[in-house]
Amino acid sequence: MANIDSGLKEMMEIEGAIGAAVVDYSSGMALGTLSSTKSLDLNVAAAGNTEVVRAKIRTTEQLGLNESIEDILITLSAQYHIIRPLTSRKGQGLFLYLAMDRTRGNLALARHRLKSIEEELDV
Amino acid sequence: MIDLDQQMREVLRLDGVRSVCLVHWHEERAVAWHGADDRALAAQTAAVVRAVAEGPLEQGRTVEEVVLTERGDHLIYTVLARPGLCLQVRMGRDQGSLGLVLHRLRRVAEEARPQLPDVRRRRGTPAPAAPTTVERPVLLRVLNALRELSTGSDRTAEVVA
Repeated sequence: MANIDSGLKEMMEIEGAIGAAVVDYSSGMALGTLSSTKSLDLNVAAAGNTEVVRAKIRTTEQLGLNESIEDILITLSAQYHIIRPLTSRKGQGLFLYLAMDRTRGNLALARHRLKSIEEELDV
Repeated sequence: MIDLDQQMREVLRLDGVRSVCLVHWHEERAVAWHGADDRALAAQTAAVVRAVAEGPLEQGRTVEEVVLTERGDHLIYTVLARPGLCLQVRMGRDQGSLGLVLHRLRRVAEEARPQLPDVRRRRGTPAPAAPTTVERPVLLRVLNALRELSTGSDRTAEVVA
């Protein structure tokens, strides 16, 4: 099992990664961040992603659906953002967040890697 | 000009695609749809797209698409160049290829110049009721006030109820 710090390091080893965070979506605060660029404010991005996750959860409840999110991919003009809620009991209410450079990143590979990092993560 | 409706039908024919909806995410409603009736999901589409497009993530970048992967389905929201419009596509996770559907949708987004479809009432459906009724004397008072404004008169008149 890996702790948050080593989980973040593994996320940053994914090809094209420019920022990684573990975020608590009840508060919007990041538990940990790691970044390779100054152009991306991960604390602001964590808050923005929290809004996306909350929008999804709120509307799922309103629609009376019993659906859980496995991951959310957001494609912006120059970046990919991947959000992956933790599934472990201790990870309830947390999600992994990875920002990638679109030209260098491989989306399919990154999703696959993030899944295995999430399974190994101990918070 | 590309026929968006035709494009939506073609996306529906791809393996695994269950529904294709054109959603107005400002108004939280489905404007047109093909395949399974997933109009109820438009509210969720609107909330998620708004959270991305109006949140700090955007910061001058353009949102192209959002993919939500759930237990059984992928939900794809492709944001169109036309303000407030996006395509909402639902496909089975175990059927078809997400990569292929995304590739196709990106082409649609590049080419599409959607026109809002005709929303004329169908024969036999009742006309929508006005939200409130207005008394004739009230309308007359408003009309008189407007007339005074347009003549540019500077005298002050009192409103007599």
